[in-house]
Amino acid sequence: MLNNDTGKHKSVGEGQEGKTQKDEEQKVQSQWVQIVSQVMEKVVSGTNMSTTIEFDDLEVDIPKAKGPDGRDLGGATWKLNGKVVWITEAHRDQGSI
Amino acid sequence: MILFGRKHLHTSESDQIVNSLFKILSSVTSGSIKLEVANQPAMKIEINTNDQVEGNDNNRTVVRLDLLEPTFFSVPDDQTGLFDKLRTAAEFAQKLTDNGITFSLLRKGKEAITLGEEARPSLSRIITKSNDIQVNSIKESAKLKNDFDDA
Repeated sequence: MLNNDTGKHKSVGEGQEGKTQKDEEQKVQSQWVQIVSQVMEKVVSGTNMSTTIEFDDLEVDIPKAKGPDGRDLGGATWKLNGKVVWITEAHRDQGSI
Repeated sequence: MILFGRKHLHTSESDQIVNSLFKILSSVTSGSIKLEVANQPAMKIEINTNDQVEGNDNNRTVVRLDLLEPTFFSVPDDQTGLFDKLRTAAEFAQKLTDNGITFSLLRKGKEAITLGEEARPSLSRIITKSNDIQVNSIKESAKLKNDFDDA
């Protein structure tokens, strides 16, 4: 059995192996994206549904950064309190039968 | 066999989703976020950061993710099994520990799995081969797995 972790048989078709590994990584990343996007789609695009995100004393440290002219933009602490609500509604298209 | 193979969902160094998640987690120091869908609580995230520990530059961050309506997060097209998820979690948990983060996953208020810094595994080490993942409750973990698989 070929064990890819040990790097055995590396000299045989090394370029092809590298390509296969890259393909595998891309496939894995697309799986992650697929799972996250499916969950996000449910949250964002459900029809006739209200979705609420409530922030309660959420503290976010914004790190120091350099501006376009090399200026120091400084850091900050943001405190978030409140709700974001979005409601999705389905409407019949007037042009449809 | 998937458990010992290379087919599980790896978290590679270049994984943008995981890297973005770590950037967000390291920026948020405290507070909570609640998600309601159709006026029903679906998820709650609580974040607490403790002061630095001597000999460690990282702050200790504890993130508690409570899935109040876990079936809402089901992904029926997901082909990975429970072992795949645990192996993926083991890689993810190693990164959490490296960054001083503890991530607790709860199902309807009951602890199911703890990953990262404060995980203290016992039997689960045999399955995951990791010191960074603790199965708090096999019952709740199994329920979560079923919730995620539900269409």
